[in-house]
Amino acid sequence: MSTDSGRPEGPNEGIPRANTWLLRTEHRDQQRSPVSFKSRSTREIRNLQMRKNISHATSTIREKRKKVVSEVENWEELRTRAAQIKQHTLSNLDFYLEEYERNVTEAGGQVHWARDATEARQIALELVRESGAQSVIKVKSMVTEEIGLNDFLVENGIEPTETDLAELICQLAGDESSHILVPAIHRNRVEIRDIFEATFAKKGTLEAEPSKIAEAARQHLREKFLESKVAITGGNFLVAETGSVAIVESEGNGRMCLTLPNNVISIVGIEKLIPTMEDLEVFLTLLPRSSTGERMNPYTTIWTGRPPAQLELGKETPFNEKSYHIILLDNGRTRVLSDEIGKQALSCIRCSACLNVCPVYERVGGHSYESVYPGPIGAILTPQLVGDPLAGELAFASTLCGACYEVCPVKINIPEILIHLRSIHSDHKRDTVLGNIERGSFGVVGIVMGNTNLFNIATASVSRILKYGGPVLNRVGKYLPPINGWIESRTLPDAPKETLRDAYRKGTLDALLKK
Amino acid sequence: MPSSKSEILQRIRQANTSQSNGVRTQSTLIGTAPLGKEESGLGRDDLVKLFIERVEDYRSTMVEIGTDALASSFESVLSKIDAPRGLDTICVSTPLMSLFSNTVAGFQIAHPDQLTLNDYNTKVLGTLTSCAVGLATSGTIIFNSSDDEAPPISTLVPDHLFVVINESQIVPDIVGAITAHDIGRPLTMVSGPSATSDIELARVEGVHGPRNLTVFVLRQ
Repeated sequence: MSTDSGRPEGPNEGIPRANTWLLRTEHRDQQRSPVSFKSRSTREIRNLQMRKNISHATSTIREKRKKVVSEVENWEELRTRAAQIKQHTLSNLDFYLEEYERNVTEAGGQVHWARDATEARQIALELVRESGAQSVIKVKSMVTEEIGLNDFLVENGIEPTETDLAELICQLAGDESSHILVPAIHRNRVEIRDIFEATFAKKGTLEAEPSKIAEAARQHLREKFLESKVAITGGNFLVAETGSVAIVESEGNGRMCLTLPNNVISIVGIEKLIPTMEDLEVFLTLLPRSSTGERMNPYTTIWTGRPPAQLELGKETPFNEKSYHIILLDNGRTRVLSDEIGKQALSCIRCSACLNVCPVYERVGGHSYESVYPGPIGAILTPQLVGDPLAGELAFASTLCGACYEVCPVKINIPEILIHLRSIHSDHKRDTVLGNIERGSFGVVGIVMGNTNLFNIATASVSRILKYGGPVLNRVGKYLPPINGWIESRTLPDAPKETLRDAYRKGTLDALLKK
Repeated sequence: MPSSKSEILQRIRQANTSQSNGVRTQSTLIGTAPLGKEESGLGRDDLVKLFIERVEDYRSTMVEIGTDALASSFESVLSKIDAPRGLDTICVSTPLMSLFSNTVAGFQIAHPDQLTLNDYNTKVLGTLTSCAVGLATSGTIIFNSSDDEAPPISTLVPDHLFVVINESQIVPDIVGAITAHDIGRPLTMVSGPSATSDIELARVEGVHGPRNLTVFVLRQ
């Protein structure tokens, strides 16, 4: 089966084609069945280079973040206010979207609406074709990754070039991003040097030094910046009252894309709206500190209707050859909005603070999630955007420790949503064999724990089972469903001589605890 | 078939009204809780000191001088730069042009109107410009694209950016700093040189924007 774009249908029948883009290639490939988080993370956890890089990155950013957050006296107040602003905007999203559209239009920009990824890609392609360009330059954008824009443009004869250093590395290597802020963090400097030498740099000319590699990227991309007619961007914030867009970045590639090409196309999720410029000031205090651990990121560009392209100030290009388009994308966001608990996830400002504190992410890395949005935020956002019970498995990729909730600058209660999604996921497999076994087992546990005599018998027999059966189960348990999932990566403990309750009754509890 | 716009708006309305707490407060904005900040109580000298400290933190060069010393100070800064061959021009914004004759420290002085996109890439070593506001807390400089400033392209493409700021332009932090401007023109916020940490999280200055930021703070 194929859609009008010619792409093969994913394995998940009944799910709108567009949304399956959110899940990575393995999932998209109809020849293979979806690979579970468990098997992906089992594979990834053995990648020591990746783990070393990720753990270095997350621990470094964690410390930087802590320092600059502690400098802001009213941080908690700001978080609360940011959460309020987002919730308020989402509750009145229709109003603010229409206000935004009016203001952008008045300022000279053109607004397009896209229900899903297919529609957004198509609009973007037509706009690029209208400009007559054969290639486009891109500012790092999660949403264009979400809709699989690059592959689509290539198939249609347009060459996209990522201009963010990490995105460029991923694009050249054919890698998936592994972190929202630093997508190529799974690669080390030698690997990156080799990727550059295998693509645009002359072999043997490049030192494996970050400064040398960055310089090579600067040279390579500068030509593209100067030549390109069209830039495609995302957007960090859309301000309804003025019709402005804010783009937050570090390298200057964003400014290059907004300042040099005559045509700029922004693709932005509808949840990026905020009501006023005053609100923007709140978010610009929270975002850089949460994201890179800086007081402010090197560059932020805020424009209204027309980006700061040459025309405003230079005299080289006549006005009618310039254009600004913005595509407002739904792609599952309204589905998330209709879930009273889950809709908090739409407040996300993509800072990635939750990734950096997550004990699970730090060990399994971004690729285990097989989602454009990895880490805790990916675990709650992806299943909801996709609306797919299979992706709901991601909600189990967490220890529910709650560290993500504590650092979230917009106070998204991630653990609450994880539990909510787990219950939805469990409801879906209610009638499967495994679901029945699971439900039956918990039913039995419920009866046993509700009755003192049964409980005493059970605890006594557990210790006997462990004593005689433990060694056997440790050997063969991995072949015995349903306990194989547990036994595979764990060993049963030795049987204690007596239970806690027995010790208490006999008055030997103190001696037991001392051991 | 309904338009994409009306369908998306319809989905939003449906999602929001189906929820029990869907109280519509269309025109009421959230209460404006003040963003308390310790820096707001700082005196002028402390504010300037904090600004200098925070911009320096981004590995920028800070020069604190009296208002009449800009030309000579700029000349001495320039003379210390080992400019690559061919980069013999300095772009200077309109109000600062009168400070210099045709050259400074051996560099040609040029007004933005005289320069093309290609010039910025091949001839211009750096740009000297005024700015709109400085934020002390975050060490940020805001450009508002006014006619007094050099254009965005000139503060981006060349390798050096020299910014002139009056002490009176320095404010405690971002609160009120964005809302104060005419949003009809783009705002550019700059905090230190262009930078990346994409390779093993090692910070490298100067990816696509200027590698070097020098700020002249004019004291009364």
